[in-house]
Amino acid sequence: MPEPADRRYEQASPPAELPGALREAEQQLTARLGTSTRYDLGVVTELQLARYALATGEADPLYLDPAVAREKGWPGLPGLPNYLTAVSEWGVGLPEQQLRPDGTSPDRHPGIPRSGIRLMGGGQHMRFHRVLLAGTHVMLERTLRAVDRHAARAGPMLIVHYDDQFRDLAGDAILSCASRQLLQAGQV
Amino acid sequence: MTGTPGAGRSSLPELHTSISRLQVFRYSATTWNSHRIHYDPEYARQEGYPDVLVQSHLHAALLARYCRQIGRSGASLQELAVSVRRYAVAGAALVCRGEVVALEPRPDGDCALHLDVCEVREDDEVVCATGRAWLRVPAGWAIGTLTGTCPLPPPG
Repeated sequence: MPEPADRRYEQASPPAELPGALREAEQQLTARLGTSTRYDLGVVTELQLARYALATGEADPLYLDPAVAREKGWPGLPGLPNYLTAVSEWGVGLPEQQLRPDGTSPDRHPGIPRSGIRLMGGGQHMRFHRVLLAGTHVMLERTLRAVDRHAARAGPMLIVHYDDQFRDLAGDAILSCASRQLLQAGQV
Repeated sequence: MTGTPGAGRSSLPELHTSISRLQVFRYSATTWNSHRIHYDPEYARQEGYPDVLVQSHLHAALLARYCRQIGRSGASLQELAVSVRRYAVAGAALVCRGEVVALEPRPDGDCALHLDVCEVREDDEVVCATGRAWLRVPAGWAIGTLTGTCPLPPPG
């Protein structure tokens, strides 16, 4: 299935030069190309899934009420399709003083300098292998697939491509996600 | 019936919603997303936006809900590719629109429903997000004049 175009990086030729912070990011990320990191995301609970559903504005009680899910024959509360990709931090997180100036965690973006870089989501392609159910212990394997230079309207940009594989403890696939992170030089 | 749906075009029922400031906050809270662009208006203005931004994953969640709404009961979302093209701020009224790209039979007896979808700001018709999806639907699935027994050509 082809991916939709993204206007933010549809410019043609890549930039020959990068600002210092972007050049540093490119060097560090390139050194990590092809590496995979595994994360234990823990057991997904009914409360997590129901809160997420509510926060998206979901009104179908199937995603909000475990009793309704059971009445409809589900063995557990089902999660909305993109829940696993939407969570920014699965653990406790870092103290405020250790976050990037924009409030994000440097742990989430290994290889990206802590300051001088603006981070933006660049889209994602999700393949849903099966429905996530409350009570599932989820593992994530993230692979840094590519780093591309692009000339955007707002200036030089790096596009970082990740492949995420979410599986249960038995190794059965739940969700695959190819995502893009956009990096631009900035004050933050 | 191909291409990315845009402003003023719709061949499927629309989904209208609005994203309140409280919803943006709760979405960040439940996903433990501490990016200031979603809760700090002054920071958002420094970044060139008029207010705090709706999260990219919330855009994706809305498009996923829209696909489920089109597929209705018995359908299951198999793939969804989303690109966020422009921002939406807290308080935005949004509408999801879509077109059927193809409806084709599968060897297992079900049908594959291919959709182009988008999410548009209602006040100025700017497209915030676009997406492509396919859903597995029962063979008897139908919407309007389309039915699972009358396949459209496969997507190009």
